[in-house]
Amino acid sequence: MPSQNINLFQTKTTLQPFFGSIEEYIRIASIIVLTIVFSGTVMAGIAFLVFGQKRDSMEKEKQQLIQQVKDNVAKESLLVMIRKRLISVDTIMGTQVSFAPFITTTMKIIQSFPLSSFSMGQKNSVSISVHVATLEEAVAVLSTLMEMEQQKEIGNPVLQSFSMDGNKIQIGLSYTVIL
Amino acid sequence: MIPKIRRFIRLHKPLVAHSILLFIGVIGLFTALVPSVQKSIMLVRDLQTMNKEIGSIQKKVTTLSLLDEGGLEKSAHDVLSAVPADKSVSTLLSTVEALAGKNNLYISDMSLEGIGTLATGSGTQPTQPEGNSLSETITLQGELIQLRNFLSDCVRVRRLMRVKNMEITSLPKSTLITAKITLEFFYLPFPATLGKASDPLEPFSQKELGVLAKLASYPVSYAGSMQPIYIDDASVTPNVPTTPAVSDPFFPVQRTGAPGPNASPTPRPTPIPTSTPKPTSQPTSSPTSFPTPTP
Repeated sequence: MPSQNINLFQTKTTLQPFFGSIEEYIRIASIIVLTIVFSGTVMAGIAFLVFGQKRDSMEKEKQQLIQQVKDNVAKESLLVMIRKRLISVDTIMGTQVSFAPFITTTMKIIQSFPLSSFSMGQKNSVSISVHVATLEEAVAVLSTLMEMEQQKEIGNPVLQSFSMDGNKIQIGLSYTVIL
Repeated sequence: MIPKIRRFIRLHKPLVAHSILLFIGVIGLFTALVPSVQKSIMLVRDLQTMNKEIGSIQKKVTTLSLLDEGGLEKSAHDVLSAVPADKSVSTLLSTVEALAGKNNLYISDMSLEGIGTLATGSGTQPTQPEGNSLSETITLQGELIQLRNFLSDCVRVRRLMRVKNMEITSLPKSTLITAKITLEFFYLPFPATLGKASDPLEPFSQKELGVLAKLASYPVSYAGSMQPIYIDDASVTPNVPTTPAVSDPFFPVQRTGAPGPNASPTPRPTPIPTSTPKPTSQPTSSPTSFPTPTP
């Protein structure tokens, strides 16, 4: 016997409202993303092509210039060698001290009397000993020393020793030469 | 599980399709677009770097083309004569000898310190700004004024030297003095590398040109300009026979007694003297020489 009941329930399920609302957003987002990817890739490709060509031309120009530098390698090596050596030369010249003024000063002090010894110390200091025959000559040496000190040719004059042995007088002096 | 998914897909077809497109877009964004942009940015940076390099090389080429090679060679000669590339003991000794000779000072003693190995030392990299150094101690005898002139010349001559120390003593019963002077000489090896092609290269600055001009004004006191120390020896050198002594240099010569039957009548030359004693005008037998055949 056929059934007398009628199925009143809906056989088709309806779309859930949540999915319905996000579908629109996803559609818009997918279009935007795909557009960005496509256009961005095309633009990057064009940029890559243009910049690549420019790089190639610049590379070519660079190689040509490098070849010109290589052609002048003799000049470059000479220039580099001279420049490095000039640093050394300049340093040496800057630290060269002429000892001639020390001798000149000593010659002025001892006049024509025989020099017994000469030695140099720190900070331009000089120690000498000189032989003289008479006390007058010794006084002359000492007065010359004082005059030179007043003229600022020497500084810090010191009578280190004075010895008299018969006719021989030996004077030991020290001073600083003002250069 | 699968029937549920199928059912969901059937029910939400547009949603699924747009989701897949969005997913592909996002993947494309990270796998294609971002690397492409990164590469483009790197390319732009490369171009900027290359542009700088080209500018630098261009400037270098211009600098090099403006340089006069002849002038550079002269300057190189000047600086090398002041500070050679190796120890160059010969120029060191001849400089001192020439200076002493010029000022009429007698060199009674001479010693070199720090020569080290027989190698030139050109490979030794310098540790000081002035380069590697070599010391020489000399003892000079002469007048005080001559010594002063020597010391004055020392600092105005090539090769460059520096007086390190000096002691003076007087000779007894004489106006002459003895000076013991320690001199320092310098040498600097050639640069090992030139650097990159794009490294900047500037022409000489005014200061460098000034140093070069000052250096060029210093006389070179060795080689051609060196004064002979033993003038007598130098004058007799041309008298030394220069013709070959024997016709056959491989012929065995007897050391004692009469000469061999095939001995050449030409006398054997005396070795060319480089210092005293003076050679006589007629070559004579020396302890190591061979008997001279008499006609």
